[in-house]
Amino acid sequence: MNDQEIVALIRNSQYDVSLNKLYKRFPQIRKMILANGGGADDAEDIFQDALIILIRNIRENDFKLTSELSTYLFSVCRFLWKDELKKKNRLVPDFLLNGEAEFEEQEMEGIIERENQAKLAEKVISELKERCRELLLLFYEGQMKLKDIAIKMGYNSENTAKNQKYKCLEGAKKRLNELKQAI
Amino acid sequence: MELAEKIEQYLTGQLSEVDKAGFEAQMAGDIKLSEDVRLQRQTMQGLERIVLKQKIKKARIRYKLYRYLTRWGIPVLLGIVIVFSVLIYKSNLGSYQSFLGKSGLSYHSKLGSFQSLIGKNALPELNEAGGKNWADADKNIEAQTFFIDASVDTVIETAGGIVLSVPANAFLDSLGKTVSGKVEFVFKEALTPSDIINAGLSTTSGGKLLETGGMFFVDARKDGAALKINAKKGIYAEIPTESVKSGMKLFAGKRKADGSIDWVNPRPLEHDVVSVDILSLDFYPPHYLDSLAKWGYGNRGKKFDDSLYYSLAAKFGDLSEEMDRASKPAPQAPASAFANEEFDGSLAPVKKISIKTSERAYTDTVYSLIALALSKKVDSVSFQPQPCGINPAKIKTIWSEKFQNTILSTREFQERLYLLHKFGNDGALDLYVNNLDRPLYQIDSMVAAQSEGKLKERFLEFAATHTGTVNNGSRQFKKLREYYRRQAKLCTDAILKTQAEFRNKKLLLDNESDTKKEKHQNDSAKRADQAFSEEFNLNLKEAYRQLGYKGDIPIRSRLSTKKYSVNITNTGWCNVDRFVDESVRNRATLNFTDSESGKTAVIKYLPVSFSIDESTKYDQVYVYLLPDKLSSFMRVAGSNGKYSGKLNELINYKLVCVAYKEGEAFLYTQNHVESKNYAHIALLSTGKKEMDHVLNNMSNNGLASAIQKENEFLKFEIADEKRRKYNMDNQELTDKLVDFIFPCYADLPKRAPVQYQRPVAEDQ
Repeated sequence: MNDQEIVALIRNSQYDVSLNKLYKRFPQIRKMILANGGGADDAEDIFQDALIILIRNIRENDFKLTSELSTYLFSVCRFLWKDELKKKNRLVPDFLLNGEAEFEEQEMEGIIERENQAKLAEKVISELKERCRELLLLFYEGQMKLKDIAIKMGYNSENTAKNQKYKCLEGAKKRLNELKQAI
Repeated sequence: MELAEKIEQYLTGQLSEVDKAGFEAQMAGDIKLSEDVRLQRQTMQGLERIVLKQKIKKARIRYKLYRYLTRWGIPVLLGIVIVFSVLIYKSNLGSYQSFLGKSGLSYHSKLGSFQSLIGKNALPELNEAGGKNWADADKNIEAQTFFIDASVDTVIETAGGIVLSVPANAFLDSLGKTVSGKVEFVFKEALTPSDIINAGLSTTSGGKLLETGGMFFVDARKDGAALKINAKKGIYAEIPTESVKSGMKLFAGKRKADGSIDWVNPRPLEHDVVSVDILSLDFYPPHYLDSLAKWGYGNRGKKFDDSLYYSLAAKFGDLSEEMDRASKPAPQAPASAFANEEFDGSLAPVKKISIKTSERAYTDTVYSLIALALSKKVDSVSFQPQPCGINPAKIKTIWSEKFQNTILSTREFQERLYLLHKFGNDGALDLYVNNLDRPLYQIDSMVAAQSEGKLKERFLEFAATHTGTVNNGSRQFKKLREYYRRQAKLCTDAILKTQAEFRNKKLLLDNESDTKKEKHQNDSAKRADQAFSEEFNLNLKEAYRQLGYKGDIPIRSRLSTKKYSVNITNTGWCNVDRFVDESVRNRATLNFTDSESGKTAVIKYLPVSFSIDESTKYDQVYVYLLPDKLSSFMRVAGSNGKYSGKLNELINYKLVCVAYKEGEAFLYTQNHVESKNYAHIALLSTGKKEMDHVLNNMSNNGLASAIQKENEFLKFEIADEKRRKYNMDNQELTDKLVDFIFPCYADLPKRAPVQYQRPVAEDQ
């Protein structure tokens, strides 16, 4: 499977096969992070964040593949790890500073900022009540119709489900706003 | 609410271009609205993140699963249909996971699978054991139901992140028949403390409190009837954990009348071991390869390493012969006494070969280690044959593809074998091979029970790791055991046979070369005799001529020369003869005055010397003088390229220098050798035919063929020396190896190292 096919699969929301392919790059990333002051857990976290960024980029933007996916992934990981080290006020090895980026650093900083917001939202959602989270996931990610959700989750009517969804969403937004203000 | 709907339509791309533009314009003028949109977008991104993370996590699981990185989880073999278990483990997984997958060996997760998680937790009438009692936990924990095809391999990931590997045909019905087709697989889990408390589960075992992390329940049914798990197949469960804690146990749950569950029958958890290519492992004794490298035998390839090591199996040959021989020698014989006898390297009957004193050094190296072993055993009163260490034939047997996919083809076993080599015998190794069907840790315990000291400690440590068996490994245990028993014996025999053949061949070659050498020495002596008597007669004749003697000259054979040394009267020809004899023998100038006639006879011997250029680059250099009046030739003594001799003034000499280097011949010839120093003689590479031609042209009285014969022998001698040296090096290497591979031998008194000397060329 070549890079173009992986990109096509991701645009088509077929993540499983493409992720299997992408995960094969993990040892390389792990090695890089271990060699630059990180631990095994750091490697996992960085790699997973990089995968999310890659998928989002492919899906949302006019993503043009200018290099091999693995090279791109490696660059993103290197950037993320550098960012992480800076955040922790730790010494950044030269290797991370001097590498050639496959993207504009500025653009990358914007992407990381957006991802940090999404992480915050993720936190908010995972703290929601079980049923709220279920409902939102089914609606937004499972692409289920409110009518089916009502049946599945035992709501009296589609309208109840709709109201419930609204309440859950607004609750999440409110909480997210609070968290953002607190920062 | 309407606005919210509009935002949603905008964010999900459901607005028309016109509406979209309008909405964007509205946003631009309404900070609150645009902030609201942003918050909602971020929330949706958060939701997407959750899903993506799950997908990635699963990709990670698949990645690790298929790369056999078992460190990540704790595999548990579920032998029975219901297992409600307490696992002491630390979970950092969130509780929002709800993707399920099934079918084949690959995951297929669908969003629609949500359905199977949610719904009423209706219990069947009968529990998995056919009873009607259900615990509170059965009622309180939501069941995760999977419908799987029993006849294909299936991997299931539960909501809590436990990965179950269900092999094909893993289920049996109540009659013990394999079930095929659709099977309802019910899984319940309580992994977090709150789950456990909400389910009404307790963590007590017979009243004792357990440290708990999680519990799970497995049930399989077909058409409502409970199934059993085929114990031979088993279902493997991997419970994700960040750190594997020691002392974890798997408990079976027993429902009590009051609705609680008591935890019984704790079993240690097993770590699966992973089978790797058995030929990629290292089964050699500790430091075997290091030592070879240290002794200059490194990097000769596995074939060399193997055959050298396996050849040591001969030490484990027929012990009865060793016993016979041990009882034979004189009880007080010290080790050195054996040097007088020839031991041929092992246990075959003693063979005497005649070896000349010049080869004394060589014979010393031949007597074997066994002789040493004997001397030790003779010293101790009670003799017991003790095979020491592991018979290499056994290693040869197990280090083969036959034992692929058994506990032996694992890195864990390699680690154990390293220590097994340190046992004085192979009993411990046999334990592993004879119990291939058991998990490693059980055998570790057996070995620990039979050992002591540090080794015992190490094997207890091994046992404590609860290292299990190879998942889906080979089941041909009986056959393999049989193979091991048979093959180890066959290997030993074959190696013994090969070595015996090698020894016989070596003896034959040694004998042959001894005969040749003997013949050559005889020939040389004969030629020297002949040359002597010819030169003697020549000189005598000349002396007589100078002294004016006439008449018949009694030609004496050289064989009678010894008689000259007996008292001879001071008169006549006999006296001349004696001086001539001395002169020829010592190659010193004859200066004899006849006391009666006053005449003097002078026959001069003049010094000559030759120095060969770059003599060190040749294996051997020989310098010959070919006398024209004699039917023999003289080898000129010397070394390091300097050769010197004496020329009889009565004789014309031709010079022939021959040198050899790795079979290539080099030649220099010159006619009319004078008494002087010939410096810088440069030899030229010469083919055999050319050399024949040159030598034949130089002399037509058969000298050339004699030199050729001599050269043939010298070439043979070089090759033979190399052969003996090679054999000796091998013997030395073997001895060195034996010292550390079979440590009991190393305790024996060390033999003084023997230097091999090349026989020195003698002047003829």
